[in-house]
Order: sequence, then structure tokens, then C-alpha cells
Amino acid sequence: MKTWTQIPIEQNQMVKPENLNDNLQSYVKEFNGDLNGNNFPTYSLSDANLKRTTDSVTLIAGSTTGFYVPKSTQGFYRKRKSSSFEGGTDVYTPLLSINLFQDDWTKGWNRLNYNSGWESYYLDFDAREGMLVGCATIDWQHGTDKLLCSSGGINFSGERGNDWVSEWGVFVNDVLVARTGFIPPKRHTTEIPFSIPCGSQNIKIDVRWITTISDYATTGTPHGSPFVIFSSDLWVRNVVR
Amino acid sequence: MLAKKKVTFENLAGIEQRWKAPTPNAADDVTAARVDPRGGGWLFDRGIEPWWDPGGDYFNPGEVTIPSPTSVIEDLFVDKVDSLFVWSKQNTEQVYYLVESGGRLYYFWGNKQGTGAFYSDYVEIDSGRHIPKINEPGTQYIPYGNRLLIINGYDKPLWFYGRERVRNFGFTIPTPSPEPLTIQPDYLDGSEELGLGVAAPNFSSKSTIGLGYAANEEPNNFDYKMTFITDTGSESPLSSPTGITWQTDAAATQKKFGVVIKHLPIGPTEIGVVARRLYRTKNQRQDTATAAGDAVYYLVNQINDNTSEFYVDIIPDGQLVDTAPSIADTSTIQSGYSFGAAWNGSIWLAGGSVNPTRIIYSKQGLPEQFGGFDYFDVGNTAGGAITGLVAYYNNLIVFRQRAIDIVRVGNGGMYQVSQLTPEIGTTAVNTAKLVAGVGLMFLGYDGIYAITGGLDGGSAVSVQKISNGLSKEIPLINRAALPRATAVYSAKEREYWVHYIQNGFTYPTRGIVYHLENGQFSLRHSLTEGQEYLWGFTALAADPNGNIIIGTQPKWVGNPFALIPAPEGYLVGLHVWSGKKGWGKKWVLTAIDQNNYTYTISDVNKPLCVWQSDWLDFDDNSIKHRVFNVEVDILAYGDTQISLTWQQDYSHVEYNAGAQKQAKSEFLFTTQEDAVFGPDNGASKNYFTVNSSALQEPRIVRLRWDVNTGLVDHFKWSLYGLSTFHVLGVDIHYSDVEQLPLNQRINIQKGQPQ
Repeated sequence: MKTWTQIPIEQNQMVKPENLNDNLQSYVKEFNGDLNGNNFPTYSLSDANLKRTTDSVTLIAGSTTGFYVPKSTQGFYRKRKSSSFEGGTDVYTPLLSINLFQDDWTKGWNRLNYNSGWESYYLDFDAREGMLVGCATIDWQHGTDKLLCSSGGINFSGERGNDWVSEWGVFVNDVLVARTGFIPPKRHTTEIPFSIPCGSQNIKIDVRWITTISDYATTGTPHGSPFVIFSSDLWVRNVVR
Repeated sequence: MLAKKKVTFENLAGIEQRWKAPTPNAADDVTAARVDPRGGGWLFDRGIEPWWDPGGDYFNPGEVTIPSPTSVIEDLFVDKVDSLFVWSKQNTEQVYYLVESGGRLYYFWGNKQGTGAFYSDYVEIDSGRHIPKINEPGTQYIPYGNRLLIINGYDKPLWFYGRERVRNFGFTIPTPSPEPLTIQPDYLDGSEELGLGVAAPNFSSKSTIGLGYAANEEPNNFDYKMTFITDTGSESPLSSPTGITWQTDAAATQKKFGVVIKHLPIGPTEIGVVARRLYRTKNQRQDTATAAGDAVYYLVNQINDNTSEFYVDIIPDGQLVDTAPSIADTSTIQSGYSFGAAWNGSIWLAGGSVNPTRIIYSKQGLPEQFGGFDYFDVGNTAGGAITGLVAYYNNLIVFRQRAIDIVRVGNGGMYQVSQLTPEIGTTAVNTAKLVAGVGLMFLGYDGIYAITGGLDGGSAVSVQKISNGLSKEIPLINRAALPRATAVYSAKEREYWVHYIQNGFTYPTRGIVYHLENGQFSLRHSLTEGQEYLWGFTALAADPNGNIIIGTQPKWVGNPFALIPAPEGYLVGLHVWSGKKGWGKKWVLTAIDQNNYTYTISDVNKPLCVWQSDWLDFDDNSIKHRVFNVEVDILAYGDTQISLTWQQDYSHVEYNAGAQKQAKSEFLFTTQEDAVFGPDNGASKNYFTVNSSALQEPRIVRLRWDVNTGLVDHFKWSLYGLSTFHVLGVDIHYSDVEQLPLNQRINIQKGQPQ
């Protein structure tokens, strides 16, 4: 709070209580909390003052790991499920493989954390009113299909699946807050940034997928590639107002 | 000897300069006074002090790290302040004191003092800005939510976020178009290679995604447009269309296709683009070049970034639902609007040399999105060019050269503009301030006006001139320079100030103050010829605590950049109206080296203050009066002095009745007198000592000055002080002499030629 002289004082001027009190009062107000941005001049607060304290987190490859670090002005929350082969040579070995012609899945949104080994892959924390700003990163693949028909000595092989599309979404308390849009078959590393205002409340954030494929072939043997996930990372920052 | 008669004024009023003043206790001049908020009376205890205090006896602006130090020092320390605005950013405790001088727009944050701190506290927002001429109102500041719009009609409009973040405001140039790649269906039948700059992402004819008709029947045609979305949620105008046409041929080519947008323009970061929207027609099935000019565009997707340039559109026509905004929803605006206001959820812009009579307004809640038809043009009514916009009550006041118009929300939520009053107008938009308990006050060509009341609930709006008593002061105002007049309302001082350029000057040197405490006017000006620069207040503003912040015209005696002779600077930098007994600091340049200027700093004495009465005729100027003495009720201020002078019969000659100590006479210069501040220079016998001196309640004392008029018909008295003084009332003792005025035919008796 910028403060200036309230009452003049000069030599040989009669001393009145307000001469002494009023000028002092404007400084006393600051001790009582009457502060504003001028009490923190530009550059008086630098990055060094805002750096994260000594929280060190080790992310263990191959398992669901993460950290919850609530701070005074913002909280950081992260979950990660990474391949034990990450950084190694065999990056094509998936953590999760879903055979869309055999395994249980729905044509709606499928929760990643409903799969075996992925149960804890979601964020669950008590947020404070402000914004949730975060990103989900998924390394995944859905290929196309090859149909084999063997009948009467003729072996026929047909390709299909060029128009299959998949989509990923981030759900905050079961509300879809960010989606990728349709993604054609291939291996992708997909980033889904999201942001949403929140109240002071419990927050659960998880990642789901949806896919459109051809109907099951009544003849022939599908030889298609499954829906596979290599690793996934989900983080969010709770920026407090 | 006691006089036979006396006139008593328990309370002294403010300025009343008309003949036969209706209030004889009024003043001809009151300068640098305020009304004591604790109990009335005119209190002369204000001075000014620097907003950014150099501290100490020496000041070195510090190592100059920004380019061309001399020009920065010139712009900041030598040039006048052209505009000033104190912005309290909403929902924060950030207070910005924005200043514009020498074409630089900047603010200081904090006051660390010491070498180098000056430039550490200095944050520049813009430079090379237009410097307003004497007939231009200059930069306007329009808070909107927790952003600030800064316009001046010449430079790019700025949208200030606080701290160091600022960007250009609004959409002033057309949006660029997306560039789709041509579809090459025949690539699929193997007869052709894929050509350069073409694409053929395809889906089967039965696929749910993909564009176009697969069958070889008629051409597929789509046109694309795009828009930018800024961080205010505003959407830019639609770009020009770019089309794409293809037709399938042989069976192998009969597929649906994806359209590759190879270049989706990235929005200019200087207008805060955070997202882009892509729009498309449905399949027009004919070539755009021939017949599809009025196609309907639909939203394809919003790309929530401003970095990606590549996009593949595979959304079929059936999924297109939302239509694109029309020109009625968003359009480009010119950057030449000079005036603005935030009212009713919209930004309103008006006036300026390019659009002197046009008013435009944004969509509610979308401050940068101006519909192509959301405008008024008041040029068809008399009143001249628009000179300002001010939000008032539930109306928008439109000041014009010779009229005041009013915009209000009419039936059905439509805006209506109508004329509030003809003939009364102003060019002094910077003087229009909302004053608590009064309304909207502003300086017109012939006085100060107040707009009061509203249009709803049976109320009526009225425009009243309230400065009729300032009949000598108002004619001093330089009418051509009215746009440079500046004003402020302070809730702390409970005063409305207006400072203006007087005839013969190029910057404001005089001011009028309206005191809410007693509904009276007083003045602000130099009593000494040649010292007008001490009142060179060029821009005024109030901070959230009501402190009046003053932008000045610095006065340099001598060349400010030469050491010999040493130049002296006065009123350098921002100042604050405060209880400081002084008038800012004097800067004397004492050393120059490669990067530094060093100044010696010292205090400047406060200029003389006065309360000067109107001419008194003691209720009858047909007889003569002899005035014996003037007894003034003041609040005691100890061993500091005030002086009284008197004049007679409209003469400018002032007779000095002497100076007196402002103390109770019985106790003066005894140990009984009220304790006074030191240091002890022998003037008092009771200097204040902490923990031992007894303090008195503030006391009223009556001081008597004997005056010795002859037989006069009019009498006037003035109280002068360099120290603080506080005057309440007066008794004037006089006697009447039955001497009638001379016969009107006296010219004949004296032989004066006809």
C-alpha cells in the first residue's frame, strides 16, 4: 500500500494528538494487513521463491505410480503407467492388449482403469476452488484387420479397417472435458490437454477410449490387430484462485 | 475603542465572484485549501510530495539498461505527463499507476529507492505513442472486468492484463483463409501418381466418415472459412472462403475423401488468439466459381490451440449442425476510435478523426466482438462530433461538441440513442467524473455542469450548471485547450478537482475544486507571477484510498542535460496531494558519466495560500464606513505565523496588517503555551518532549488585526500563510458615517468635457 504524509508537521507548530497518530496510523495499517500489490514490487518475487520444495518422487516403470503434492497456491497430481521396456529396445510390447473380437468392451466409452492391472490408474484428490489444468498422454495403437477365408481350396485374404476410428477422452467426475476427435488406425502418442474450473470438492479424473470397428465377420477368421496401450501418463495442476 | 457595529460570519463560504454576492461570507479567492473533514472551516494544510521518492539527498536513476538513456530521461523527467490512470485490477490487490509521458506508457511498481532501483521499478507497456496536441484529449483508459483497454485514436488499441502482459485489442484486419489441398481421386485407380501439392486420404463409399459423394455423378464442392478465438472468448470475423472441388471417375476412385487443410493460419499472438474455428459448407455439388456464393457455413471443429497448422477434415455433412457467425455477429473494427466506455457488458467505442459521429458496441460479454450492424451514427442530429463516452447510472452519456446524447436500453432490449440536451456540450471528456452525491460533473465551455438523476423509476435526468459563482475564474479557461483539462474525484478528500489550461499557457496551471463537505468551490493557482509552474498539474487521478495522484509538467531551469550551469528541475515525476509541508523536490543535476545522471535532491517550499474575502459593503454602499479591526477565529497552530492584509474601494493595493503567531495570546512565549515541534530555535518556551509534554485539545483562538481604513464604501481582507492554518469565521468591527454618495452631476462641477 503506497502511503504518504497525512498531516503536516513543521518546526514550531503546535503538537496535536492527530499530528502524531495520523501519520503513524498509515504505517500501522500495514501491520494490520492493509497490504496490496505495491508491498511486493516487481521482481521482488522471483522463480526461486516459487520453486517446488523438496518433494522427490520416483516413478517406477511397469507399475502405476504417481504423486499428490498439494501446495498453497496450486497442487500437482500425477499418475503414470509405463512399460518396463521403456527406454529399452522392445518398445512394441504393450502393457495392455484388448482383442476387440473377443474381450469385453463396449461401443461407448471404455474406462482404462477397468482393466486388470490398471485399477489404480486414475487421479482421486480433494481439489480447492480454482482451475484444473492438465494433460493425458497415451502411447497406443489400433491397427487394421486382415480377414482370412479358406473355402473349397481357395484361400482369400481381404483387408479391412481403413475407416476404423478411435477416440480418447478425459473425464473429470464422469464429465467429458476433453476429447481427441476421431483418430484413424496407426500407432499414436496422443496428448489430450484439458482445463476445467472446479470447486472445493473431491475430484476423480480418468481416461477412457471409444472405438468404431466393423461388425464381427460371420465367415472367415479375423486376424486383426488388437487395441493396445504401451504407456499412459495423466497429470493435473489444481490452480487455486 | 469598541466599534459601534460589527459584522459576524460564523462560517466562511467558498468562492462567489458575482457582483453583490448572495452570500457575503463568501470568498473572492481561496487557494490550496480543503474543508476540514473533522469539523469544517477552511484548512490550508496540503502540499505535494513525489509519488516515487528518490530518498536521501542524492538520486541516481541507475545503470540504464534500456536503450538510449538520454531519451528515457527526457521522456520521464522532462516531458509532461500526458495521461494518468490508476487501475485497481479487479479481484486482486494489484494497483497500477499508469503514466504516459514523452510517448511512453509505463508504470512503476514499488519504491525500492537507491541506485538502480528506479529502473527496476519501471515497467514500460508501450513507446513511440502519439503525444496529444493541445486540443486532443489523449489516451483513454477503459476497465473491463479485470482487463484494461487503452485507446487514443492514433496508436494500436492495447488490452492490458496487468504485470507486463499487454496485447493488441480487437480484430482490425481480416482473418486469413485456410488452404485445403486439392483432392486427386484418380490416384486411387493407379493411372496417376500423386501430384505435388495434392492429397487423397480416402474412405470406403460406405464409411460413416469422409466427405463427398463416392459415385461418379456430379462434382463435390466444399468451401472453407475460419475464425480466430481470443482469450476474451471473442470470435473474429469469418475469413474469405477457399474452395475445393473434385469428382470421382472410375470405380476404384469412387470413395469418400478427407480434406487436408495443409495450412490452417496461426492467429497473431499480439491479439491473444487461443483457439481457431474451422467452418465449411455442406456439399454444394457444383463449382463455387459459378453459383454457390451464398452458401451456409457450418462449424467443423474448434482447434483448441494456436500452433497446429495441419488438419484433416473427415466430418460428414450430416454431422454439421452449428452455423457460422455472420457479419452481424462479428466484423473488423477500425483502430481510430478515440473514446470508449464499458457499459452494459459491452465495450463501446466512438469518435476520433476517422469516425467523428459513429458509436460501435461489442457483443455483451465479448469485448472484442463487434457486430457489423451494431453501431449508431449521430451525425444526422445537430451537436457535432463525439467528444467522449461515459457510463452513468443505467445510461451511457455521449458527449458531443454542442450536445449531450444518451444511450439507453429500450423496449425489447434494443439500444436507443436520443439527445439529452442540445447546445450544452464539451470537449473536456477527461473532466467527466462521477461524484458521490452529485452525479456526473464535467467542465463545459462556460462552467462546471452536473448531470443528475436517471431515466427510470420516475426520475428525470437534468443537466445543471453549478459554477455560477465562478464568474471571474471561468473566463480564464483556454477554450481551444479544453480537451487537455483534467479532473479527479477523491472519496478521501471529498473533492472534485478540475485543472485546465488558462489563456496564454500550454499546460494546465489553474484549478477549481468542488468541496462536497460544504458544497462550495475553491481554487488552485499560484499567487505569485512567474511561479505558475508550481501548479503545472497536467493529469489527475485518484488511487483506491482516495489519494489524489498528480501528473505534472516538470519545470527545468536551464538545460536539463548540461552540467554547467547546473539545471534545476521542479515537479519531476508523479506527485501526490498529501499532508506534506512542501511542494515536491528540486532536482539539481550534479554529475554525468557514461550511463548515469546524478541529481542532488532538496525540498521545495510550499507556495503561498490565501483566503480572500469578497468586497463587503456592510449592507449599504451609499454611506461610508470606517473599519477598525478584523477578528478571525482560527484553530491554534502554535508558533507559526499567518498574515492579514486589507484593501479598500476595489483597489488592488493591499495594506499589510502584519503577521501573528497562531497561539493563545495569554500563553504566547511562556512555558504555559501549547507544546510545539522542535528543533528548538528559541521561538517557543515549550518544545515538545516525548513522554513528558502535556498535550492540549485542539483549541479555537481569536486573533485580532487592527486595520486603519479611512472612510470607505467597500472593504476586503485576506489571510495569507506559508505554514498550516485553519480559518473558521470572522468578526469585522466598523462604524458608519452618514455621508451620501456624491451627486451624479459632479462632472459639471469639475468641468469635465462631455
